[in-house]
Amino acid sequence: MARSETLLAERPPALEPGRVLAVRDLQTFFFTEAGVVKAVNGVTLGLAEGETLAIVGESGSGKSVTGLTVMRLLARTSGRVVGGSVAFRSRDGETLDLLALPEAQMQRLRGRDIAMIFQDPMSSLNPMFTVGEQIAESIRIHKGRDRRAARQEALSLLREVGISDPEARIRAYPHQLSGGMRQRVMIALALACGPRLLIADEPTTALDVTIQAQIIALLKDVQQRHRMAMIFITHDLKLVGEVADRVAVMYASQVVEEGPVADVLAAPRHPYTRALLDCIPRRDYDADHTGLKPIPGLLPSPLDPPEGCRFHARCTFAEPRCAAVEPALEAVDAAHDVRCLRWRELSL
Amino acid sequence: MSAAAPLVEARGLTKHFPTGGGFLSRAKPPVRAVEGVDLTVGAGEVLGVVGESGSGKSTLGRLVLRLLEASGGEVSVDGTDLATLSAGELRAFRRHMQMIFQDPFASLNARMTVREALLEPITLHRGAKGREAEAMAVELMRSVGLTAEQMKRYPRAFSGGQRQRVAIARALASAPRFIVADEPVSALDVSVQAEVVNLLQSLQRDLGLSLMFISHDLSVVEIISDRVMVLYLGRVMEIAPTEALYRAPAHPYTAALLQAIPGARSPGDRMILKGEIPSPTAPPSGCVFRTRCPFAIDDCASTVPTLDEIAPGHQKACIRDDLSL
Repeated sequence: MARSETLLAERPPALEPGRVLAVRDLQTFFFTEAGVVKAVNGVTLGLAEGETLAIVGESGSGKSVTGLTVMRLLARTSGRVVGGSVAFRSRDGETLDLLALPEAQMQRLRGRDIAMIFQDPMSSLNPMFTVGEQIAESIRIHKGRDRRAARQEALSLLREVGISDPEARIRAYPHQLSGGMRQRVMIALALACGPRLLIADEPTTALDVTIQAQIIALLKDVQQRHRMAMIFITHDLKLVGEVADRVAVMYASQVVEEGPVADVLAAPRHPYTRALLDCIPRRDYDADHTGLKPIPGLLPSPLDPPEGCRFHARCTFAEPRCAAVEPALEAVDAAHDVRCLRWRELSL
Repeated sequence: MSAAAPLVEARGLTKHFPTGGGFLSRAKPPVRAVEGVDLTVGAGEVLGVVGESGSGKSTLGRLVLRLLEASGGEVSVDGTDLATLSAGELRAFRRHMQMIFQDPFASLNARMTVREALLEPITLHRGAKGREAEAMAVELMRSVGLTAEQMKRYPRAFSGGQRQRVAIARALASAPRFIVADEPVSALDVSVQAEVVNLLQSLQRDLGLSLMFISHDLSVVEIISDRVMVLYLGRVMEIAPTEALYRAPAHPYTAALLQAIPGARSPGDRMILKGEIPSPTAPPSGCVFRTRCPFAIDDCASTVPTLDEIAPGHQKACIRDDLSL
């Protein structure tokens, strides 16, 4: 009995056909001097092949830590995965539990099967090497090409991500490029080995809107061409409608709503999602507006999350029971989940 | 709104930053950050200034306050030509014009409690002392939605949004008539951003402040501004009453900026500008925007467009009058 239980626990988590990723009840905590920060506390997410899932939330919601946990990039922090599983289908069709994988194997996966891009490309590009050397190195390591072939592939990647004059730019150092150009290089680097999943953490946040529009168009284009799934982490709910098929809204370390983008944006079921939508300045603003509708109160401290629903203190629909009972993520329909005790009775 | 003489009037404002060169090396061309900008801000009016990074919008804000010395042009505030003021006179005159920055830490001393930070300008500029000054500080705190209790704290004890409230309170402490706010909400989360925008807007209206609101975020600018100026490479591309500019932009750059706002258009229906803003050390000839403009024609490379009025209060710097944007 005990034996079979162990076997069960060691078996990689199941992944339905057509899915590349399933995050189940993920818990990532940071053990700091001030106390335990439960940055990700029970996050469940899934991603189909070729699909884009946006994770949207304010700073401190846990959206970035979720991405870093999937990539297993927490080693140099005080962050530890305390619970949950991350099932991922590799390019060989094998289902792996990323959280149980030996580091050496995870290293092979990073870049080859899963790639990540960040808000600040300078943090992931090496200032000492040219752009071409860095892309070519990745191609040599992961695809075993020789120098010549790797350089050729790097050139064509730079061309693919819309870098003009790639023959000259391949010899540039990161600091010689503009912010938008660097993000293109990062995308080229991420694409180098044809990953099945790209995690993009606020990739356009530091860019001007005109450059943001270019990068979004590029990301969607390469995603389609490479049939890649993407997790797009952002604070900008307006961007979600442009990039994603599905959206997960995070608040205080938890997913409070998840569903198809069109449903969630047009008919949100969670009061927080509604509130986020209401405090965004929108172009269809009526002329005699009475101002934006801010969300009252402050984000709760991650050291001491509130009892019951984490949003209750700021929620205009809260009832006494919301302060006592922690809501579970419930299905509104087959594709749409919400974490609210009152979702059935509210029309938002 | 600005039928009377404008409170702030700038003419031909220009700023060139020298870049290197010197003793033995040849002089390099300067960075042309701002090039001949005229602007007015009426009493109680909000002028929005938008543009990408490198458009010169922050430099323009500092020039208008004479926090930077202009290479050319002049600014007058309430009839006083700032260039004629001595250093001492300028310091005294600063009570009338204040600045709010993106990073509130830039205007708050980390070693001063909020109380000290507020009392300093109150005593310096308003000559109040003791209980009277204290009462003014409490009133300022209340006006930005904070409590007297919170005055004892240091800036780091506040959240980002609260800290920006403190910075606003401090800017208001000298009872200014004109405020330049440079990206005041850009670093804040949306829920907090909405609070600070509402606060700025209600203070501006209640106090009849003139405000120059600088931002890269066109959606926020639309909400708060009476008129909007669009800058590109240090030049004015278009300026118009807010409603007209957003409904019927006349300059291709304005149109592109508006279409780039996420959600504003379906991506397939969007004008995506090619390339990036050119170096301000070597701006393109003719129209500086022509290298990225999908409507550029040969003449654009040779003719510097003038800022022409196309409707009352609506001006654009584009030689093409045949565009429907």
